[in-house]
Amino acid sequence: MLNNIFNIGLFHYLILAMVLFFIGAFGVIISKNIIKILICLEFMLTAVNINFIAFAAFVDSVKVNGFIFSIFYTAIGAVEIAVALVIFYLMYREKKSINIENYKELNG
Amino acid sequence: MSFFVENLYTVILIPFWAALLILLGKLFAVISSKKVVNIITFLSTIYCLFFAIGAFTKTLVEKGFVYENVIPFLTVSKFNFTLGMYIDGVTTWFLLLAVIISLIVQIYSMAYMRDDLSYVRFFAYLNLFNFSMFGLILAPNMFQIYVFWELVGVTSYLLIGFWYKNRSVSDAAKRAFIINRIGDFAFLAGIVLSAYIILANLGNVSSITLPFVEMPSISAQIYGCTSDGIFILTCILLLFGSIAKSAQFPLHTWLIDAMKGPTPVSALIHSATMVAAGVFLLIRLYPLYSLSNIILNIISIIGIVTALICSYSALTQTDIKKILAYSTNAQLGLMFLAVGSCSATISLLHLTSHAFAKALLFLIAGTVILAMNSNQDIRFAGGLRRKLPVCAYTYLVGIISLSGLLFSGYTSKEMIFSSLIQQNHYIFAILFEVVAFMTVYYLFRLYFYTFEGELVSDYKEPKNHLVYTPILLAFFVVGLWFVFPKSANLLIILFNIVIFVLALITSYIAYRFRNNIKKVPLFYDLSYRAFFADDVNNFISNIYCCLVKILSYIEKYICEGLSYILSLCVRISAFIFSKFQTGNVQSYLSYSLLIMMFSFGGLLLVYSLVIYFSEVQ
Repeated sequence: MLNNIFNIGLFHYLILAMVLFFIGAFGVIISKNIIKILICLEFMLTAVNINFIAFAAFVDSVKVNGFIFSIFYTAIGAVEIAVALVIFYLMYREKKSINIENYKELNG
Repeated sequence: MSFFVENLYTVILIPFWAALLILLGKLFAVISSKKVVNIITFLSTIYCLFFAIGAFTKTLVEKGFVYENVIPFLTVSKFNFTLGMYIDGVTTWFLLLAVIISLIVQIYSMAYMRDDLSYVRFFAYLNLFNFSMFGLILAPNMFQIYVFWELVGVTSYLLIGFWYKNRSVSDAAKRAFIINRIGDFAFLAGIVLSAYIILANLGNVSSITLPFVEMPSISAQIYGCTSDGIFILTCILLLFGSIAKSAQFPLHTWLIDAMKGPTPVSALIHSATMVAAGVFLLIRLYPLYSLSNIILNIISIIGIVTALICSYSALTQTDIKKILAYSTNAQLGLMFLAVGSCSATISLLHLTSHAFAKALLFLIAGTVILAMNSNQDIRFAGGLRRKLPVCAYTYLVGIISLSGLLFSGYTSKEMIFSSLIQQNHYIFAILFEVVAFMTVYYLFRLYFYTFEGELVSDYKEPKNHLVYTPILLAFFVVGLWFVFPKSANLLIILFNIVIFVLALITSYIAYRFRNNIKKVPLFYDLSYRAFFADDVNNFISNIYCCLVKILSYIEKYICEGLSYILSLCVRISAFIFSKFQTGNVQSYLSYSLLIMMFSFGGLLLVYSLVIYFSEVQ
């Protein structure tokens, strides 16, 4: 039983990634602070990265594609954050606030 | 001669190019002088005259000469619709008649319309009319006939409504066009029905448009393969085209309104050529109609009823052009009678003699109207014989011919009468003489009122040009007398003279004592208001208006109600769904997450169920 638990395989990684993804999604949906939303977005990105690495390690025989993809993904994530921070800065200059509640002009 | 016959189709094209040239020249301001327009029109019509004479000589020399030349115009799967020309004696005779009258009327209108602002437009229309009329005459099959039939209707509409700024004129043009359209619709239905009969029963693809070359054989085939009812229906539908175009009994009111157009137009279109196109079509389709006695009787009855109604209406009219219009209408009725009871040839002869005489009368009426300062009421005219002697004597030639005393009118009238007697149509013969009596009466009444007695109103000297042009027509009226076949029956001549003298005396007495005559209420109204034809028309149009009103209510409350409900549904749903648009990015994200989860979950569920069941079985 214990053996089974500690015998870590693909499935465990996938569960971890899923939990992480949903934590991230939950955070994105409920938090009011824009910076917090960005952090939670990073959670979701990381979850996807874990999926890539897990599949690469357990399924792929060449074990290279997934790793390379995760590196790309990390880089894209960094760029994304840079862009997002600039946008947030501009938003802050506009309304002196980083609360997402204040940005609801496009309602129906 | 064969050169003229083979190239006769240019007669259709040249007037069209002339019309186009005049219109485009006006549009681009290249042609500004009336002289250029005159030259173009004159050249095109003279060209047509040469070709018409050439072709006429050919058919005169060779008896029974027939020539057909067609080009494919429209090919739809296996059906070929062709345009081209079909030339026989009737074609060239009618073409020559139309060209001569057209030429004389054009020369006349060069003077008559000289001061009109839209001079150029008028001549463009006249050329356009020539184009459509010649196309109609040369048509080798019903397809081309129909195309040019409509074109003739359109040009007639344009010319009636030439002074369109006057409301009553444009109304008259519209009415003429609409009544013609009613007939044309029935005509089209007849063409389609005959095409269907040929296709369904004979399977003859090449002759669905009734080419006139094979007319007798196709008519016999149609008659052979249809039941009586269907055959009569087809013929009556085809007949309706002629009835509308020649202003016969149920659809005759438009011709009187058409007199609102310029007088040369009345002379050319509404007395001599276009209205005769209906009779022309009758003659063309005579092989078909003559197979059934019922159809011939219907044609005769329509003709004689029209002749009686219109002659009776002409008795009390006071408008100079209206009298002539009713007279035209009555004579067209007699042509129908001649087709129905005698033969196509006699009808064609009567058409010819009437066309020249009536064009002559209309041209003189135009001169008289100008001389009377555009006053058309004959009660204000009078004594014009001393001012316009040439007009008065030319007019006398015209009415003597139309009354059937002398000249070409005598021959055609006498031929109809003797043929009616020979065929034992005694009732028609008696009614025919009644019409003849009334014809003499109203024509001489017009003469007495206009040319005799004291000068009542202002008088303006018309131009010489106007006075002398009708003489050309008078030459034809007299000259045709010598061309027409003669059959001298002394009894009929005597009878004719008696009728004529009686009518003349009655007319003179009625004119002499015009201030003492009491108007018999009902009979006078019946005549003056043309058997209340306009009231009947109004009644019918009122019924139609009621129907339109009901339909408009249905449209307003039922159709619009439905569309209102539909729009309400859209608005409510839009209201509901717009509430989901909070403007908050997080809510959008949660929608998309939820949708994605449910759709993926649903897919997984379906997939696993499919696998499960496939394994179970």
